[in-house]
Amino acid sequence: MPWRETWRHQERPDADQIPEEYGLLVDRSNSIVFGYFTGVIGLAYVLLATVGTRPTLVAGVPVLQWLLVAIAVLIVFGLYLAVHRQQSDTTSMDVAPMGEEAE
Amino acid sequence: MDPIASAQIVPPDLSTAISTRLPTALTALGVYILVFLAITYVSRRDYDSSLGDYVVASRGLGWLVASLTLVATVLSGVGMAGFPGTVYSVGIPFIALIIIGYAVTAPAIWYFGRRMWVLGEAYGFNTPGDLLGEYYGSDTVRLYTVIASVAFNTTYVVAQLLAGGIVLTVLTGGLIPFDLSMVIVACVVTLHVSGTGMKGIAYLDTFNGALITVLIGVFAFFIMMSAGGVPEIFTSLGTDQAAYTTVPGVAGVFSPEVIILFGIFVTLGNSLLAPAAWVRMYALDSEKSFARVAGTIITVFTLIYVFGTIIIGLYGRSTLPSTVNPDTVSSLLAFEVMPFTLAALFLVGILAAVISTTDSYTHVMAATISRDFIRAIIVPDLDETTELKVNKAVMALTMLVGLGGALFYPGLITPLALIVGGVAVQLLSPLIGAVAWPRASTEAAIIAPAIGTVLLAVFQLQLIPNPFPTPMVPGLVTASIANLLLFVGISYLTKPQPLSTIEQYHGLIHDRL
Repeated sequence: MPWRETWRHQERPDADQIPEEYGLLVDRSNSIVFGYFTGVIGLAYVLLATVGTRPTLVAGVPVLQWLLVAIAVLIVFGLYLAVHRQQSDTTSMDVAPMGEEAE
Repeated sequence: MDPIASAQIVPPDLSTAISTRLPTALTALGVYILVFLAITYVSRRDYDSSLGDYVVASRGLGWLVASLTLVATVLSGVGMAGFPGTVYSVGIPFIALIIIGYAVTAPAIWYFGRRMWVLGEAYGFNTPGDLLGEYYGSDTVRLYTVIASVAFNTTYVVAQLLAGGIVLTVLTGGLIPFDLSMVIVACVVTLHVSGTGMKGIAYLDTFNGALITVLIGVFAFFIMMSAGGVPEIFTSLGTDQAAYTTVPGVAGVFSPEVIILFGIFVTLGNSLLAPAAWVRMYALDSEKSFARVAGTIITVFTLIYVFGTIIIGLYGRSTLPSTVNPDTVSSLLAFEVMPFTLAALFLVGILAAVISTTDSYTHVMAATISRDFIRAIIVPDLDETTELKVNKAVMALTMLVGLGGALFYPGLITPLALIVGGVAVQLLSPLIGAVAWPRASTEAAIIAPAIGTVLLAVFQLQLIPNPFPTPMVPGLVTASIANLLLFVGISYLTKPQPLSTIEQYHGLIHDRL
C-alpha cells in the first residue's frame, strides 16, 4: 500500500519567502468586503441582543423575523457590492497598461 | 428501540386517514414519479459516461441549478419536518441561528467556492481529498476527508432511508410495509445516480428544490387563512408569544453568542464543508456564478425558514396538543389546514427532500472512497474507466450498508448524526490553508483537525468541562475554535509548503481572481 507523505522529504521555504500578494487580506478590495461582512455580523449581534429580545409585532410579524430578513438583505447587497468591486478592479487593471503607455 | 422512532417525521396514524382517500394520495405520488422518470430520461440523454461528467457534471452546472441542488441537498427530511418541530419546541431563535449562519456561509461560498473552483478546473479535482491531499502532500490529510465523508454520509443516508421509508408507507396508506418502502427508496436512488451521475442529481434537485419552496409557501398561505390573518398566527400563542418569538427562546439557551457562533459552524459544515456541498463547488460552469449562488442560497433559505418554517412551527404550537411528537408537527398540520390533495403533495415534498439528500450523499461518498482511498492509496494506477466502475460498486455497497444500518441499528442514528455534522467542520482549517493562507503547514493540517474531532467527541460525552457548551452538539464551537487556533499556532511554529506548491495553488488563485 503506497502511503505517501511527500511533505516530509520536500524542501520547504521560510515564511518570509512566500510572495506577499498571496496573503489572506492583502488586497484592499478583499479587506473592504471582509470588513463589510464582519460589520453585518457585528450589527446582527447587537440587534439580536437589543431588538431581538422584544416581543413586538411589526406589521403583524415578530420583530425578530424582520431582523433576520434585514440581515439576509444586507448580505445579498454585500455580495452585489463584492462582485461590483471585483469587476471595477478588473476593468481598471485592463485599462492601466494603456495609461502607462500614454505616459 | 422502535426501528422507525428515530426518523418519525410523519405520524404512522396518518396512513389510516390516507387509506380512506388512497387514490388521491397515490395520484400525487404517481405524478411525482412521472416527473422523476422524465428527469432521469433527460439527464441520461445528456450524460456522456465519463468520470468527470459522473462526479462533477463536467463542471457545467449553471448558477440556478447549482443553487437549487445545494438547497435541496442541505434541506432533507430534517428541514421539512425536523426544523418546524424545533420551532414548535423552542421558538424563532432556532431559525435565527440558521439564518445568521447563512449570513456567514453565503459570503464563504463566494470567497472559498471560487478558489476551490479555480483549482478544481485547473488540476481536475473532483473531491475534497484531491485538493487537500495534493496541497499538503499527505495521505493522512487525504484520509481525513474520507473519514469525514464516510462518517457524515453514512449516518445521513441511514437517517434519510428511515425517513423516506415511513413517508412512502404513510403515502400509500400502509399498502407498502415500512421495510419494503426503505428498500424501494434505496433502489430508486441507486438506479438514478448510477445511470445519470451528478447531472441527474442536479436536475432532480432543481425540481425538488423548486417544489419544496412552492409547497412551503402554499402551506404558509393556508395557515394564514386558517388563523384568520398574519398577526393571529402569533397572537394565538397567548401568554407564550414572548417566549417563542424572542431571543433567547423558550428554553433560554439561544443567547446572541450561541446563535452567531453555533449558527456559523453548523451551516458552514452543512453547506460548504460537507463533501456533497464541496463537490458542488467544482461542478459550477464559471467562477463568476458563485456570487449568484451565494445570493440565491441565502434568499431561498430566508424565504423557506423565515416565512415558512417559523409559521408552520408556531401555528402548530398554538393549534396542536403540546404532547405531539415535534417531528410530526408539519405533516399533522398540513392535513389540518390544507385540502387533502395539497397535504398529500406536501408529504410528496418531504419524500422529494429525502431523495435529494440521499442521492447527493451516496454519490459523493462513493466518489470520495473510490478516488481518495482506493485510487490514491490502495491501487494508484487505476484508470478512469475502472475508477468509474469502482465508484458505482461502492455506491451500491453504500446503499446496502445504509439499508443494514436502517434495518438493524436505527437507534444509533440520532446520537451519531449530532457528532458527524461537526466532523465536517474540522476540515475548515486545512481548507483555509490550501486556498487562502499560504503560511499553513502540513503538520498543522494533520494535528489541528484531529484534535478538533477528538475534542468534539470528548465534549459530546461530557468527559471534560466545556467552556462554551451549545445545544445539541455541545462541543461544536469550542472544538472548532480550538482547531483553528491550533492550526494557526502550529503553522507559525513549522514551515509552509514548498514554493512550487504555493505557486500552483495561491499563485494560480491570485492570477485568476
